[in-house]
Amino acid sequence: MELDQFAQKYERTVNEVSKVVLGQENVVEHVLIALLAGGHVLLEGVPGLGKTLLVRSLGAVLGCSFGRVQFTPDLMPSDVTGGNVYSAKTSAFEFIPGPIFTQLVLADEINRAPAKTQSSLLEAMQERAVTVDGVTRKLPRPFLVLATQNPIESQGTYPLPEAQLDRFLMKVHIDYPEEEVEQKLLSAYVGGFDPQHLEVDQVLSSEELVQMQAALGQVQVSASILEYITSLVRATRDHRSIDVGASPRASVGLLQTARAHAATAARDFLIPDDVKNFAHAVLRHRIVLHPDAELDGITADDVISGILSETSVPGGVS
Amino acid sequence: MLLRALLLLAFTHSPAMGQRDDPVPDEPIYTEEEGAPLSPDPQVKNEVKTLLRDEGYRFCTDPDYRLFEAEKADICPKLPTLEDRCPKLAAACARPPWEADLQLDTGDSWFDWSFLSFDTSPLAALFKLIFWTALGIGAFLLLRALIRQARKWQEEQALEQKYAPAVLLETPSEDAEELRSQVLFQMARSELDQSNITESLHLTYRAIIRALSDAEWVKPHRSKTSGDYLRHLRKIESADTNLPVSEVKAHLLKLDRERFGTGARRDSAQELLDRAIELSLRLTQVGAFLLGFLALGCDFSNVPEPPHQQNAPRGGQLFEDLMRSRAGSVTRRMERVTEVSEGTTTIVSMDAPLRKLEWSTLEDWTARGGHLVVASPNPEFSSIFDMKTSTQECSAPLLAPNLSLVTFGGTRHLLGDPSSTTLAHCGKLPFAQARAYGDGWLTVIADASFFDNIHLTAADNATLALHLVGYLGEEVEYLGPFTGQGAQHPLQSVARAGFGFWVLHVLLLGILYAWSQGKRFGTPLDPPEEKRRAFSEHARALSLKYEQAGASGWALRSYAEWVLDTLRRRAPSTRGDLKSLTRAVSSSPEEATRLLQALTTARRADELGETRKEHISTFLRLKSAILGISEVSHRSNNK
Repeated sequence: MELDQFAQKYERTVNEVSKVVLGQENVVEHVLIALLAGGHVLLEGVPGLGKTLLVRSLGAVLGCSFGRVQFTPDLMPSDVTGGNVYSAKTSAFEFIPGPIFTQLVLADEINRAPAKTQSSLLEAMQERAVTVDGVTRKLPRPFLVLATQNPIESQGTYPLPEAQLDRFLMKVHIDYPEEEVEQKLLSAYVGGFDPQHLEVDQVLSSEELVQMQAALGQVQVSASILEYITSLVRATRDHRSIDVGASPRASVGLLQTARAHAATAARDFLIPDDVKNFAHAVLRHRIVLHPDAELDGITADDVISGILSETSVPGGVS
Repeated sequence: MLLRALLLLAFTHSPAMGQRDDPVPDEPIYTEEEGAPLSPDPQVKNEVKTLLRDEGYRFCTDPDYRLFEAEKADICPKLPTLEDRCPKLAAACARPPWEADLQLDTGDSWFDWSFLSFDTSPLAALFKLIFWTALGIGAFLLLRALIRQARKWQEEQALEQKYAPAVLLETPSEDAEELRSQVLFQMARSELDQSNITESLHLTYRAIIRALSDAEWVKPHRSKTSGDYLRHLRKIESADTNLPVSEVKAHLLKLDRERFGTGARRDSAQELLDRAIELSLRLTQVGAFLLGFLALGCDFSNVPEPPHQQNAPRGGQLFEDLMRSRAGSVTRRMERVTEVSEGTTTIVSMDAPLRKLEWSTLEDWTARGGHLVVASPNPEFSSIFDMKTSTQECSAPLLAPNLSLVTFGGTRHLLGDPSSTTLAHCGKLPFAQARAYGDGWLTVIADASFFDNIHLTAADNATLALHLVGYLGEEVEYLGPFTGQGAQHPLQSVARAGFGFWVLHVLLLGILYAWSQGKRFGTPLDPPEEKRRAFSEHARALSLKYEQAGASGWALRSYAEWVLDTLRRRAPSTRGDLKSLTRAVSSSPEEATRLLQALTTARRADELGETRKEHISTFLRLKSAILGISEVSHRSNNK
């Protein structure tokens, strides 16, 4: 697929999703970029901001199958992955696939499930496969996990382990919409909008999506940009406010995200902006702040902003 | 006698006199009553004497006063006519003329070394010392900054020489800030000549960002990308739509495409460089325009000071004072005569360089009933008033009935207007003439110098002078060489006040200072970083308050509650009791026990009635328990 075509299809997808998901252009952009980069997204926001609606409309626009898992404290790994069930008809164990065997998976309130259940996603997210009773089954392509977590509910939740967090390509914050957007939203409901029956057109097929993911290979990366990415990620490991810095997987994620963003602008090369624009989303969940920094009210975004403002961009002014 | 009879007849029986409307009153314009002779007025003489006692008239009061050489030649031979009213003038005549000490007083140099003298009062000397010390320190700091800047500039020069073959700008500027982007452009051109296209593009990008920075559009930083600059430019664009922001934006995007894309072409790099130079020139033109505007403020056409001060022998202060004692108000007119204010009764013009249009205004005003006195009329006056008022030098004595008159350095006479009445003569020729003009009255006097201080001091000159101007009324406008010479705008005013030189110097110093400061000057600074110590400082201040209040137990309890709350947040999945919590956060039973004991004691600190020393001890135990847990936690994280 040519990159011009890639950019056109991306623009049409954004426009179509934005018909339903109002006032969250930045979130839509991030999720789509992550999808094109082949990564998973952790959405953080209070309930009622349209996270589920976003995923469902994405499924409809991209022509992908959609599955939802509501994570609860008593959720078992087999509830996610599926399991072997004895069939009286065939007198044998048959594998019943779980909701993860879809192309778009919404893991709602993922931090309500215990670590054991959360870990059931690890293999799926990284290897795009699920192993049950020693049998590994491939997941459909493309495969994207969109997990949500609620920042204000801390009681009865299980913080995601670092290993799990690292599997997410991006962590995206969803904020309340602007007043005008909210009014537009209400007008849509007055006009008969039904979130259960989304009136969006399918813009892409899942095959086209896979082709678009493959097209990222056309985007060339100069050595200076690679150096910039490395400098950013390495800076998280030496920062005084960070206990645990970002992993090399973060570097790869940042590179892939930047390539996807360049492709959406029909560019076959990266510029520093491609990297800088997504540094927060890619890095914020991969660093563990020092307790002193937390006590001082410093957030991961603050630290990343500091790193970005201290790191020289390639080709910038000296 | 015949002359006097004619004069009186003319004044008292003029048909226009009784018909005049306001502002000139319906009474004879001259104060003489019919039949009263023009005679020496002792009252005027006394008045002049009294006025000359004022210290302002230094030529009459100051024995150290010096006359100009020309003044000495004119005045001193006729000293006896002046001595009774100017007792110190004899001393001035005895002293050498002012020009004799010209070398000593002013010197050939514009610089006066007397500022180095501390031979004054102690306070003044102290102020001088402080001033010069401050100036010296300031000059030293400025010099140091300039040297540093010059070194930088030298380095840039070296770079420029290295890349000398490329000549980019037709009219290169000498400005240092401009030179920086020039250097970058030259480097870019040179790299392009050597086929280092990517490097050339990077340099072009840096140069255009520097030019943007010079235009105060962006604040460059090594961590900023084109996107950051573009976001800032969008804000400016919304504020000022006249700026070529969109062109700059498009150019930056093209540059990025070429810089980071594959296979940058030489021709496109060349095009981008040329376009960048063109844009940077347009950006710097804004600055040049502003500097040019500032330069307008430096008006070097300084109007020379009049040859004599108002109180000097040839000044006109005495005449003005005499008029003031006879009129309600006397106003000097500095601006041009475009209109005459209502209520003006008399206008006295003494050698005023008025234009035709101004005379025309006065002619209209006089014809409507005004009283105009003109001394030393210029040719424009004659053409507007249609009178033969040309003057010529006259060496004959000045004559008026019953008056003893003296002139200093000769005078002038009028060629004579047949329709006017002559009031005074220079020999046989008219010196002053008067006539009715429309509904008003016009008096023309050949020589304005007759009204200067030294003339009015002598003999009966003042009596004649007052007789010639006649009745003044309530409001008098006084025109002179100063009329129409007022500043047209504030900058001209500054220049005329002699401040142009100083303003230029301050501006020059400001430019030097800005140059010495380099890019930092005038650019907004980053907000100060938040200090990590803020929380600890706050805690320290709070603990000081507790200590002052003797509330160590309460403080310890609060601290324990805070610790407990923090632990709960870090281990939210545990149950709420202390025991399970301490177990959850600690890695060993010993640490859990220590923490539990310390927490339990601390939480009841204010109930147990312990001393401050014991409170501190508990605090330290609690602190060491937490530190122990933190270390273990840190080690496990590193593993």
